[in-house]
Amino acid sequence: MRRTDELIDRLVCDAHPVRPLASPLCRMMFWTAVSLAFAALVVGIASPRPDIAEKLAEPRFLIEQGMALLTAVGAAFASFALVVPGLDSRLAMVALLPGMAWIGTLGAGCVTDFLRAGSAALGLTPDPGCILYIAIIGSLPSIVGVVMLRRGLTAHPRLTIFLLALAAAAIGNFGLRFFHVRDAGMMVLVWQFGSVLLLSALGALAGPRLLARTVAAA
Amino acid sequence: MPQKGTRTFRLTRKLIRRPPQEGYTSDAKTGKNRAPAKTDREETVAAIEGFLNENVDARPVQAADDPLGALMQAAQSGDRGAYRSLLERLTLRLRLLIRRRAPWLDRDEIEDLVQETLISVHLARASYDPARPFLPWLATIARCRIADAARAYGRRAALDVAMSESVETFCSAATNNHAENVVNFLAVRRALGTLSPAERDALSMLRLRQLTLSEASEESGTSVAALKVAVHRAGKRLRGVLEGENPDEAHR
Repeated sequence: MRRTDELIDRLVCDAHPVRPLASPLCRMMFWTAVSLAFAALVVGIASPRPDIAEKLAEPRFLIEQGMALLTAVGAAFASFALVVPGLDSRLAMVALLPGMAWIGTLGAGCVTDFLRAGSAALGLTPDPGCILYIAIIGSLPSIVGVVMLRRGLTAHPRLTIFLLALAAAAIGNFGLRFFHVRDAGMMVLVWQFGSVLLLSALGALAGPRLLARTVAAA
Repeated sequence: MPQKGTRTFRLTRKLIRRPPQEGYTSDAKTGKNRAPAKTDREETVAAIEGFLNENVDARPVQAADDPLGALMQAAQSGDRGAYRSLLERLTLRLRLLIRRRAPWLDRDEIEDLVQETLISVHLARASYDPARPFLPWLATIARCRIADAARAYGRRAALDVAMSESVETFCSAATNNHAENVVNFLAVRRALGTLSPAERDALSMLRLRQLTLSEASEESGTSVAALKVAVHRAGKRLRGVLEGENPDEAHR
């Protein structure tokens, strides 16, 4: 018997029923719901910022938060689409537009601060807690996302995990700003957005290992 | 020929309607391109390659149009007989496809690649959507595995080149030649160190740079006779050193 025949025997023995994956859009909606629920839980535990009512009436805050959420949703959709063979890999670009818009709104916030208060508004003070909070809020979405991604197969494991990490970190940043008061334009751009990028890059490095799968022994 | 109206029929007709390619002939009377009679294997390869190279029309399909998709759908619900049938059909098709797409691979490597693709199909079978055609799904997986194989082949080739340039040798005569050259070079360099400056210069000009006696004489400002004596002594001393004699004795 040839080796390929043996492999087929083994695969057939391992062929338990599987449920076809839902569409990337449905999976993205499920993931977003879980992630937002967890973010809300963390915000509740950390207690929302005292000026939350004022912030919610501030267009700039709403736009920045909206862009962060859109980036998360777009990146999550792109990563779920990438694990379905046969779908166009250009769907990964879905995250690009909201991501650029998010950077744009944060940059515009810096400019607004500078015009209002001069160069003092662009000062940076250490705020390493940002990365910790973003990682905590993004932890469950990351785990859920990886479990969901592993049901498919991707030709671009680094890009896929990068997009998932970007989505999780964007959700983390979205939740963070509901209880973290240090949100001057430059602080948000450097510490918070920088943390999002750093976590995404770390995720990309781990991509091939996280998505590696093996066939169970027959 | 597949039945009229089926997806396979449409695909085959599309392939036949292409401009003349290798293996196609032109009908002189009608002016239409006519494909030579194709076997099932050739049709399968052409179909899969078509999917690999073109933008795929991923419209929903009926099971009757897509027998492989129907088998996969049955496999997803746990039908092991259908799954075995599917894998056996895929093995044949993948073997032909990979042989064409990666002609640099030998028989064993092709078989390895077929197996890796089957494993990928198995792991990703939940990602197949029965509402979509099967072949684009399979083609994407096969393309990924072929790309992986190409990258691995490139890495192996680079490693082979690096190993061939290494001084370290094993039992191969070809690799030992390099080590011998290194040893010889070291011995010659050591022997050159025993020469006087005048002998070394004479040897360099007359033997290595292949200057004539008059050119070397002009360049060094030494007489022709002195150059002849120096190069003769240098040669004698080198022979002595390289043959294991005492350089002082050879100098005498």
